[in-house]
Amino acid sequence: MSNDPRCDAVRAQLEEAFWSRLPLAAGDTNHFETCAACRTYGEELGGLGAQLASPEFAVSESVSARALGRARAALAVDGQAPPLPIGYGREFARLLIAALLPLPIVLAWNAALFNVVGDVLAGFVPELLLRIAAGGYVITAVGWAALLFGSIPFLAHRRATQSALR
Amino acid sequence: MKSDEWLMQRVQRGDDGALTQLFERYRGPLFGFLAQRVGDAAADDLFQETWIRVARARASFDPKKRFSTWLFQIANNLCRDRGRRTAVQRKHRDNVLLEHRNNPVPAHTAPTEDRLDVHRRLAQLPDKLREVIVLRYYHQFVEREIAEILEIAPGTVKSRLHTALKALRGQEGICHVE
Ligand SMILES: [Zn+2]
Repeated sequence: MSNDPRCDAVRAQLEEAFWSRLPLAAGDTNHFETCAACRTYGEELGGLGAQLASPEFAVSESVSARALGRARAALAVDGQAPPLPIGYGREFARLLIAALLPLPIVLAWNAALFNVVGDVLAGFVPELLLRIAAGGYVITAVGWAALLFGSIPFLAHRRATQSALR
Repeated sequence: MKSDEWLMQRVQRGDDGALTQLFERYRGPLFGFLAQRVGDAAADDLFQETWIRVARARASFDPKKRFSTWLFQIANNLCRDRGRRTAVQRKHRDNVLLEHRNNPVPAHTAPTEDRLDVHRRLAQLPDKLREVIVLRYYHQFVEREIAEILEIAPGTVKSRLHTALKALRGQEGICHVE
């Protein structure tokens, strides 16, 4: 680094152009034209770039064919069970929380309903009929809950796939 | 033309045609990278291993990121593992370069001689400097992407590039690299 901030700026630009393999140019052409040290630096980087020219490496056809063959085999081996998409866990947790949050309220509401309706109906509905009605209600509620919670893995998969494709 | 990331998402679902397309796109650059890192004899094995990992680890690819960065990250990790296993690679590479040097070089091929010097310097650099040069100069990754591939801070990439350039210019005794 030099003492002149203009030199530093010009050299930083020259270095950036060098790494990007662009024609070496400085934004501050006035300074570049007049500063011998910066011009020398630019010439040095230009020379370095010429010497660094890409070495030629080529993969042989046999290695290439073997690599692709083995990769395709690896894909086929566990290709039957597609991996979970990125973000699946996050979506799953989000949906599960959304389903669990209202659960206490739903349970409390149902318990209250049972008590109140049970007390009212107990006066004129036979005991057996009341038990059957209560059983039916519980089975239906459990069925709905199973449907709701059971759909979470599938919904999460769909949402994760969609957001990954976006 | 479909993007690399789109193709990789097809690969994630087991599409081997998409894998073949990605392979065709990247076989040249990937092999070049590996050959520069470990020499072309050793690159053959790592080249195959990289593609097998692409297939096996496909679920871990995040489609929001660039495929090329992910691919080179896998390849670079394999180079590092290999570097840990064997220190012979460097010696071998240097010997090959020295052989070149010891062959009589006609006077009119002075530029080749210069080139050999720079490539020799490049070969002798610590792995940490050589990898940033190869990624930045030969593969044109930007600093942020190099940071991702090497799993280091962008600031570290910047300072390593700075040190690497000094070293290539023959200005730096490279004893310690951050
Ligand atoms: Zn200057």
